Amino acid sequence: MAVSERVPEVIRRSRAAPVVRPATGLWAWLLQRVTAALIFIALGAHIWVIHYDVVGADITYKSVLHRFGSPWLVTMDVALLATGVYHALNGLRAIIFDFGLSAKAQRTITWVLVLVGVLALLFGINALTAFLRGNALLW
Amino acid sequence: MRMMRYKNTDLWPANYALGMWVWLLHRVTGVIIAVYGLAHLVVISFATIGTGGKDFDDVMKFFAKPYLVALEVVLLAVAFFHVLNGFRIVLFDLGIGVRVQKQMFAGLMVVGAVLYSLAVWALLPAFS
Repeated sequence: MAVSERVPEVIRRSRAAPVVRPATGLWAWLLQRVTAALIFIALGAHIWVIHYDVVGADITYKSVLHRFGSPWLVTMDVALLATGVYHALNGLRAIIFDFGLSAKAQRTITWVLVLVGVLALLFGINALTAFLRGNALLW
Repeated sequence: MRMMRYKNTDLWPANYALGMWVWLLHRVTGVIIAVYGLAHLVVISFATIGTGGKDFDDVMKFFAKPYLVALEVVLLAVAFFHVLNGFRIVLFDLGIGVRVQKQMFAGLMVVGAVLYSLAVWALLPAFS
């Protein structure tokens, strides 16, 4: 049964109690949990491969390329980037919304954060391609 | 008068329950990790797309200073807290352990302290 069907007619039609769709969506909440689990796995692999493999030795472009130059690890890092950017920006969004903003301000902030996220994602993917091609797609 | 009423609520810091401090700390650690993550993305990306890896090596040499590595060890503690408490939050959302939330927090922090000690011990060669 859809939610609207369970709301009594008198409440649904009332001007005094409009049905407000919260800007902090249920999907955003669920995705925050899902990305948390994915980050846990991908960040574990990221830190292990890049930071714990040879502790103490100088980290150079060559040594990172040697360990990190596989398409699988770059793909995993792209996944980490996407989930991490979402988790971080959605978390900031929750904190900002807790200060009590109007619905309009909430929508504006959401779209600004979406833009920031897309730019960060494209910027990061561009840099990650350098580990596969020798140099990044752009620049 | 209003202030007095505020002081008698759970929202006045002196009256915070343990869960409230943990909630606040989860947000603070979240912001720290988000800011670090953004800086990490910008610095490493610009170094990587630089000329033939030379920029990358220079940046890595800069960050190999002991006090900057020490800051990373602090960041690791921040991340451990955020991950373990995040696990607790997900359990609450699934309806698990809400009644034993304080005990669960203590247990997870003990587990975290053990795992963190191991992680720092494995990182010791980075300081030499």
